[in-house]
Amino acid sequence: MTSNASTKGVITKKDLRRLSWRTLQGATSVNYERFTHKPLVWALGPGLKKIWADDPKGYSEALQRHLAFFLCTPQIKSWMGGLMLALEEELKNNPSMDPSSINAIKTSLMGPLSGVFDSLFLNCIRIVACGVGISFAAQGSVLGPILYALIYNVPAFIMYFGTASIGYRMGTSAVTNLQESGLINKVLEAASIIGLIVIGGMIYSNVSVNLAITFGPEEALTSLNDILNGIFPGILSFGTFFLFYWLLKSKKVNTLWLVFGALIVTVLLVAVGVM
Amino acid sequence: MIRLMRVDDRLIHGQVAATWTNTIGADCILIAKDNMTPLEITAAKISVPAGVKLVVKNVDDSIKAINSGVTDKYNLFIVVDSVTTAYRLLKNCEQVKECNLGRTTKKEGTEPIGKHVFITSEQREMLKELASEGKYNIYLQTIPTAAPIPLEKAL
Amino acid sequence: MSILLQATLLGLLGAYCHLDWAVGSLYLNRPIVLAPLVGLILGDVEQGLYLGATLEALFLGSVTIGTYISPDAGISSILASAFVINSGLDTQAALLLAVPIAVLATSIQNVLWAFYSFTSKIADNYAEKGNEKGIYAVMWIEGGLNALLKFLMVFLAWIFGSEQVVAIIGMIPDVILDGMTKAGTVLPAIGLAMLATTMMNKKNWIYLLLGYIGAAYLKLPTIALALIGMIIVLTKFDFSDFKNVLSGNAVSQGGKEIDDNDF
Repeated sequence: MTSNASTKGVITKKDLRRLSWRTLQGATSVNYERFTHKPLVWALGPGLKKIWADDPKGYSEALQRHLAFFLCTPQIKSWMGGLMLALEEELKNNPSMDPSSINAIKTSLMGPLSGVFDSLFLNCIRIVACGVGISFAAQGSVLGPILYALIYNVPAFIMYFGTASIGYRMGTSAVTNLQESGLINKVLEAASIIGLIVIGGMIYSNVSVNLAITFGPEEALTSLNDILNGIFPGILSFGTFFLFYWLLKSKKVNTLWLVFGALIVTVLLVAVGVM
Repeated sequence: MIRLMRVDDRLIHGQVAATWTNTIGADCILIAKDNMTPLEITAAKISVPAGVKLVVKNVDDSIKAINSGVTDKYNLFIVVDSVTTAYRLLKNCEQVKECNLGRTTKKEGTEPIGKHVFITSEQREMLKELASEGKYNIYLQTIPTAAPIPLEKAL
Repeated sequence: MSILLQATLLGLLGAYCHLDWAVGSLYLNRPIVLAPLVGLILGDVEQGLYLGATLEALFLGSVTIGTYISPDAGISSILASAFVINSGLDTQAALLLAVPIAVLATSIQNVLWAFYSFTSKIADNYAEKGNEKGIYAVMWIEGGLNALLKFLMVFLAWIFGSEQVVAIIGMIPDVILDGMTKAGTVLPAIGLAMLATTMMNKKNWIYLLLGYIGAAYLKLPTIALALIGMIIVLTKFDFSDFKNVLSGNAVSQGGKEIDDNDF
């Protein structure tokens, strides 16, 4: 896939491989002002040094440029890095290019693309990984953490080592094409569908809300819980999920308050014998 | 009707735009900015929340569109890149009365008002003028759950 | 095993919580991986696995997205699991400990990250001189100190806190502990609801119902549900354009139909 890379400029397949390895250090240090800017420079460094080899001033400016605010989904850092190297090379060869356009492109892309890839990795692949991992771990199987790690990281490493060349070779057109072809929307919708199916399953298998209320004569004691579950299995868990969903979505209740509130209410209900 | 005008030089930016759109119940976002690059338009299209219409116009056309009344049928969320653009809209559109100063990045020749908004001395004058007229509701606020700071206090 | 050795090994797990971001953001700094490792250190892998499942379900919705930094699930799951395994308490008691520890650990880290805004100026100076090695040094020192901070949080909490925490939990009346145990199966609903708020809408909520029915009536395991989901999206969407897009060929225009870019 990187066949064109070597003909385009000084950055070779090997340099892009190096970029990919170094993006793995993507959040080694973080701060609240510019987030993961230093790891970006760490990843781009060798490539920048090669591009600006005969121009110390240009090199220093490039280092300063990439110390600006940088924050994106870890799995697209290789892609962004490849794109940045392509732009740096363009700037080197075309002095009339405005240097500030490089950061303008970086900042305008990192937010939107992170939105897409956070949805894919955190809200879809991670949920699948957790769902599978939890189901095995809950039975005491070490396959739980192992499957979790593999399901999340195999796609992640395809991104780390497969996308640097896309960024470098295609520049911004990859993003424009992905948007215009409608693929980004499809990926987002698909990620939500898979995520929601797994979340639906996890509501049944990980949430349980049971009532301790019983009635009837002692020899034929009937539990309210059994009756409710006969109507729809786990109806109370399902209802509890939607109660929390409504509180978060429509009432904008703070999550921590919700956690403490749910704890207190449950303890009270258990204390009075309802649950 | 116009739900909100927000100054944010990242324009529609991931979660920030999504939370605001959600909170104010907007069904259409207008980006009013001169010289949008094709890439910025692509980025905006990727970020726009599902089911929300996106319109990108330069500032003059935005003013015309708002004043013509074609925007009345939407719950409109206007996003502008700078205080200067916000000033032009406030001055030229009868309907625009409220302005949320979200975030403009630190650049050479700018000074902070509040934590996330950096303005030039020229823009400071504009804000002072707007504040002195007293008919606008202008405040600094990054996300819906943060407390808004009135412009008068920040200046 | 001496308490010092335990504290050191647990502390190293704590340090890994940060170092995960320096080895590929593998997301192995989560309860489902850490709790079994805590179990390994303290000699009860099986309970570690149960704790991992319980705590992962609790922290499922708590992830760092963008500039929002979530409560520290990693440090919290190490300490909560360690306290629970050590004291012979019920698995669910970990929940009682986990949330406050997570909030506290994040606040401590917040201070460090705010401080790093200042040390970034040192990196700026190196950049002006064209000295990339200086920038890298700042990055590694900052990262190292961050890992050290997390090591110390766990190490010190274990040295000074393990007996006290067990004693404090011992004072809690049974009725409250019973309640906590029940709450342990209710709280995961909050994490799941948090996730759903970011992705569920009028068009796709039906898939949540599908997953629920698959689990509730058909007793399908999660892997099966995920595979069904994949089959659904592959039949529903045409992804064949990917090849063209990524090789740079022209593509059909299938973008958002609502974007006619005018009112």
